[in-house]
Amino acid sequence: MMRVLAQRLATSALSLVLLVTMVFFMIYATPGGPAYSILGVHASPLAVAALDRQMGLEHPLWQQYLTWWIHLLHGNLGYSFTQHAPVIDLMGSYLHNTLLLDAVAAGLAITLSIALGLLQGATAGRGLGRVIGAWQIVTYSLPSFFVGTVLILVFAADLGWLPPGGIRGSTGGPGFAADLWRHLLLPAVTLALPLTAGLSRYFGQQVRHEYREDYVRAARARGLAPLRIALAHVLRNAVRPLVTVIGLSVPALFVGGVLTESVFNYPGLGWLLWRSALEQDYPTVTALVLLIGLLTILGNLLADIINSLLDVQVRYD
Amino acid sequence: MTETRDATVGRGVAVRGRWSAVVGDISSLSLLGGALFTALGLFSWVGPLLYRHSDLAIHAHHILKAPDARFPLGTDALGRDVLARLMRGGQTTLAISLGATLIGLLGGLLYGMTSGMGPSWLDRTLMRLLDAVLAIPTLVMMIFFAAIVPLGPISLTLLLGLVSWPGLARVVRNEALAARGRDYVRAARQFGAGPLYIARVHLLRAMLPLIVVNATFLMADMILGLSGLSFLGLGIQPPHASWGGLLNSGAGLAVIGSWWLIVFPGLAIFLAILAMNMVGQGLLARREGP
Amino acid sequence: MNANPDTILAVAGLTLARGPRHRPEILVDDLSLTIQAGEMLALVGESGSGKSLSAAAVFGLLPAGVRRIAGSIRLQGQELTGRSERALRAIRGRAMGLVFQNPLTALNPSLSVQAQIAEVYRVHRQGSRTAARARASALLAEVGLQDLSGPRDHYPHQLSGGMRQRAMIAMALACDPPLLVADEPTTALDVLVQAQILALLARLQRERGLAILFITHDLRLAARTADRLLVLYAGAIMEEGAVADVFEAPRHPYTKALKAAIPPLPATSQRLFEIPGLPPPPGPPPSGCRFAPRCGHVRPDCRDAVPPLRGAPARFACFHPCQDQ
Repeated sequence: MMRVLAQRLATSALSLVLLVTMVFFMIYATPGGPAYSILGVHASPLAVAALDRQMGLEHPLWQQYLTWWIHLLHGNLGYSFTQHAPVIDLMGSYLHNTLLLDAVAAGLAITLSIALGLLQGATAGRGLGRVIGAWQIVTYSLPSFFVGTVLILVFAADLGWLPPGGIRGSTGGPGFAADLWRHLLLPAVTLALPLTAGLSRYFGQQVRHEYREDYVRAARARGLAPLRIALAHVLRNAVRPLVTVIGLSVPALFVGGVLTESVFNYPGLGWLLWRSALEQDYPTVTALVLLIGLLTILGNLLADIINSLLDVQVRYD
Repeated sequence: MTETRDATVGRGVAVRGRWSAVVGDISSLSLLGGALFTALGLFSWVGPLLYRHSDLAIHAHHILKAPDARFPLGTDALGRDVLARLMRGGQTTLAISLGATLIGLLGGLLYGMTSGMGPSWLDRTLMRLLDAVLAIPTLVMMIFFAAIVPLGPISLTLLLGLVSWPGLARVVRNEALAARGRDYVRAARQFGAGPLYIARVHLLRAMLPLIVVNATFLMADMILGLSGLSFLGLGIQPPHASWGGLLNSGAGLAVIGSWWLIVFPGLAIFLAILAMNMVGQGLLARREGP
Repeated sequence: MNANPDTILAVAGLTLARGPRHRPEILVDDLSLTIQAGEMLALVGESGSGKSLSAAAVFGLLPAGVRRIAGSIRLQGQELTGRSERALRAIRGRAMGLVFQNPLTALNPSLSVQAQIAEVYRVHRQGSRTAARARASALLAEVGLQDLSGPRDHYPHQLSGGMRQRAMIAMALACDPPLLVADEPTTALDVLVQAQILALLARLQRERGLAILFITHDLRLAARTADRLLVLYAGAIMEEGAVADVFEAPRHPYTKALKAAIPPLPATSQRLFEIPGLPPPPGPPPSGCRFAPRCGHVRPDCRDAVPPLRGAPARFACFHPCQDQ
């Protein structure tokens, strides 16, 4: 068990090192050189020269690479000239907002997917199963920025029930939580929809396979009710691979997050990435790419660990 | 016992009937998707021949007109014809997506084949590298480059193509690895066939259906990626029309009532992605059986 | 037929079919059988002869597309056909237990064996968690799995094939049903374990007074274990009676051929007998004897009419039965 964990950790660490290295080369291959990447295209030649010296660009590449690592490990991600703050200090609140939105959306998507997938697997080949299948293809094809825009149009602009974007109208005080939820609802639904379509399709197929297994026939022959077979037997076996898939859909969450946060002006990492890219704030963009990569690797690692824990209960006793 | 035997028989049939599984009996879902995509292509390229209105001409007296007889899909904030812009935007969107899909296919095939056919140390190295690349979501990667490099249509096609291959590369590699162990490939090697010959004659042919399915999903991803990038203002730049760009410029105005500015381009993107997903899912269902 | 209070299962005229209504394919044709308490009846036939389908019909679990077009199924005098799914659920597992061919796939891999046994008991008897757990331990001990009757959970993959099948049997017996249906219970096991499982079934039959319907393709196994034999060919009864009559002195050419096809023990260099041809695919009701195309003793009249079941005490469906050797 510990060996499996150690192996997974090592794999993730290696991925992380490769990620950082890759981003290093992506920046150093930039036209204009790394100084521009950090200071932006509007930087004065004087500042560029100063930074070149400061970063030791006259040193060989391997030394620069080492310096890049040392900076990273010290949390030195550069200075954002558009936000007027060290990049590392920016991350906290945006990360918090993104994790909040992603958690709500993922929770919604996972709950819906399990319910829909069970229903789809149990009614495969029949009317309801087909309807769910068609819904999945349609929903999966809906771009989140279009859905988000339409939702704003209907629920915020037209009906006026929900705020069109942002994260809060007030800070603290009574009704704060309710206000937060009102701001979270539309972006969370927008983000959860395509995720639900994908996850429930995958899970539905798992469930369908499980229903063909002998143990389901055996459970019927023992007089167990369909609901009991679905929840106590089929679900248990079908849900395990779902954990991995949820881990693997972390990137999808970030992609959807960038678009959704931008549509709703929701101040998360995706929104920050968008604004920084538009304003060519390279230090922030670079830091965000690294952070999102890190979160993705962590998401996969977490899924791996949960999976092996679930497995252990059965395999290692 | 009987079940296992049936399964092997079934697999044998699947291997022999693979090509026909793609071309011979295409499911109605795939056909419908193909028809939808053809319709969108006709709209974008043949449409302008029938509807002869400029996508750039400014009708100063007809700003933000709702759809009517003269402007079937209305006009935008500068008084440009939305239908004409939608057709032009379709050309841009579809052409770039198609080009990027081809580049992505080529990249994924080359990388995956190299990894799957090469010695195991190379395979391990390439796969680790792929893990790191895959850790950065495609759109985030696009935004990163879009922020550093100014983008035109050609560079956008290259960018989309170059960031899209990792997913396919893994599929191709796994398939190549599996095919490599099959007897007919082993036999071919016994007869002195070189790796390139085996890749071309045996592996590619065995993988063709899989590649076709993945190509459709890749195309859907490219349409979504390009439109998303343009929606964020980082893709096709105005005044050039693209579906994502139209949606971007319309989003603010739709809130004050100009719904036609977002509904039509949004529908166009949705239908194009839907068409590709339908083709892919239809082929996939055929491959996997009912 | 139901006058005897010891009759546990009585199937009469059971006919199963699939395909269009105007041109059905008959899968099981006019099957009748009875099993008494404390008796083991072996249903013998090749794969595709309809033996497993008949078991599924008893449980009301016919696969999609297969339907019962005639016949009655009575369990302890109660008619089972025409009952609602809900009513059947209350009977399955409580009044009849089913044992499958492959215990590995028939057990849920992610639930402990104890939990799966306890579940049946709790569902049908509404017992408490602890009572069900105690019940599971007692049953495991009864089927010879004393090692598993402790408080520790055991998962299917931790058990050997024979242990799994014992656990399956314990599960089928969780609510003390009077009837046990064992569908090829030893086919997936190796020879030594086969004998152990058959001995276990025989012991349960004796100790519990259990009625057992033993479904197998193996005539020798059936003759060694069961009290009575019922030989099925292409969905119809060929011969039925006590082992002493049917196995020792078969009257039907099919039974005789099956017996001749048993490889001798110990193996000799003698060439094995095999029945020429293949069983017919399911189709519309035949005009003559189903076995006629493969029969070594076929005469012209065999193809004109379906031979009825006749004879006593053993019954057979043949116009020209074999004489005692």
